[in-house]
Amino acid sequence: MACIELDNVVLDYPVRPHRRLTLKDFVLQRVFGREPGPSVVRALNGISLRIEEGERVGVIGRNGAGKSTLLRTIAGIYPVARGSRRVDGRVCSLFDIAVGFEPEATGWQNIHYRAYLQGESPKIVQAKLRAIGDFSELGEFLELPLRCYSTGMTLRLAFSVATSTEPEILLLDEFFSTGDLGFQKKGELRMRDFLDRARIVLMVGHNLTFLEKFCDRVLWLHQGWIRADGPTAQVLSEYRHAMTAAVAA
Amino acid sequence: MRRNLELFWSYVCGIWRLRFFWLSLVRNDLNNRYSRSFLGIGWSLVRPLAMTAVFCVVFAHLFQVNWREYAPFVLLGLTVWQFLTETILNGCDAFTRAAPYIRQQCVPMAIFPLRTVLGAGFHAIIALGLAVVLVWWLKGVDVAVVVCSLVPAVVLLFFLGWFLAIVCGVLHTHFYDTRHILEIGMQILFYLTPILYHPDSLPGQRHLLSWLEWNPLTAVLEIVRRPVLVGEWPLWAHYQMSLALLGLAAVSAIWSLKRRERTLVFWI
Repeated sequence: MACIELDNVVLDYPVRPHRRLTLKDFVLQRVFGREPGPSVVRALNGISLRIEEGERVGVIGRNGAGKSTLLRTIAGIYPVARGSRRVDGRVCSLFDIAVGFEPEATGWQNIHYRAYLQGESPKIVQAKLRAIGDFSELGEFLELPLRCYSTGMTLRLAFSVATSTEPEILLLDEFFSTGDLGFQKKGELRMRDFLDRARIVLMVGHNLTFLEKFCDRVLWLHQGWIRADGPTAQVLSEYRHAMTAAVAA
Repeated sequence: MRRNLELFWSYVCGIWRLRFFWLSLVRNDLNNRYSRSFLGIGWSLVRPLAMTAVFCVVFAHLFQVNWREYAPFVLLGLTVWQFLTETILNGCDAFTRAAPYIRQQCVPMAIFPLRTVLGAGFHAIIALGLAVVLVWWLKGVDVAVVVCSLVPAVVLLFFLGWFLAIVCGVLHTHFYDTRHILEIGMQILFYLTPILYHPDSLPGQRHLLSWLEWNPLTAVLEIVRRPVLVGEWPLWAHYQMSLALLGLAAVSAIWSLKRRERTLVFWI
C-alpha cells in the first residue's frame, strides 16, 4: 500500500551569500570568531499530514509558501531537520522537467538518460522508445542534438518521456501540459491517463482550474505551515476569497 | 553495526540499480569530448605519447638514461598521475555539475564522482595499454603476465580515484577555494613524486629520498610500474602502503558522505 506520512516536519534551508562558504569566511569564523552571516530559512514549519493510496492531492499557496520544498522533502531530496517522514512506495518526482537534459546528446539519447534516471532498464526503454518518440511528434528532430531544439520542443520531449513511466507515488511541480494548442489537447489526455496510473498523486500548481479537475483534496500552504487541508472545492474557495481580499487590501 | 551494514548494502544496491544512468552519462561525456575533433578518441593515444616523447627528449639526456628504459617508465608515471589529477580536480565539480539531477530525484550521490572516475579511467586504460605494448615492443615481456599482475593495481586505482573524487567533491561544494588549492598542491606534488625521475637517480638527496620513501604515491606508482617494467608482481610493502592510502581515502569518503550527503543539495 502506497502511503505518505509526515509528522511535525521542520525543514531549515541554509542560505549563505554566494551559496557557499569561502575560505575567507571559514577563517573569519573559526580563527576570529566572526560570523560571516549564514542564515537559515525555515521553509517548512511543523507539517503533519497523511496521504493514503488513491488520493489526488493539490498543493497551493503563494510564492515562497513552501510548496516545492514540501514535494522535495517527500521525495527525500531535502533532509528534515526535525520530525519524521515515512514514504511507502516508489517515488517518481517530476520537477523542472526541462532541466537535466544533455544538450550535446540527441533526442533519442536524452529519452534513454531520462528513463534510466527513473531506474528503468534498457530493455524497458527500448520497448517504449518508439511510442515516446511518436507522442512527442518531433520526428527527425530526435536525431539532432538537443541544443538545436526550441524551448517548446524540449518541453515536449520532456513531457513525453516523463509521462511514459509507471509511477507509484507521483510528485509534480508546476508540471502540466505543454507545447502548442494541438499538443496541449493531446497532452491533457495523456496527463489524465498518467495520473490515473499512479497510486498517489501530489501536485503543486497555480492553475486552480486544473487542480479542480484532477484533485479530490487540496493543501493550502502559507509560510511553511498548512493553513487549510480539505476537499478541493472548499479549500479553493477559501483560497480564492483570501487572494481577492489580499488584492483589494 | 548490523543496521549500518544494511544501510551500506542498500546504498550499494541503489548505485547498481542506476548503473544504466551513470554509464550513459559517462558515454555521453566521452562522446562530447571527442565528437567534433579530427582524431576523435585517437587523442587519448596521441596525448600520452606526445608527452612521453617530450619528456624523453629533455630528461633522458638530463638523467643520463637510455630512452628505451625511460620512455615506458615516464609513460606509466604520467598515466597514473594524469588519472589521479583528473579524478581529484574534476571530482571537485562532480556534484555541482550534476545539480539538475540532484534537485530532481533522490539518488545515491556517489554516482556522480563515479561518473568522473570512469571518464578518467577510460583514458588511463588506453594509456596503460599503450605502455604495455611499448614495453612488449622494446623489451619483449610476456604481455599475459603483465596484464594479470596489473589487475589488482587497476582495481586499487579505480577505488582510490572514486574515494578521492567523493572527498574533493564534498569539500569543494562547501569551500569554493578547494579546487584552486588542490591545483597548486598537485603541481607541487608532481615534482615530489617519482614520475619523471627514478629515486635511484638522486644520490645524496637524503631529505628528498626520505620523503619519496614515505610518499604513498610512490608505492601507488610502483604497483603499476613494476609489473610492466620488470614483469614481476609488485612488492608487498608497496601494496601495504597503497592499501593504507586507499583505506584512508575510503574512510574519508564514507565519513564525508555520511555527514554531508543529504545536505549537499542546499549548496549546489
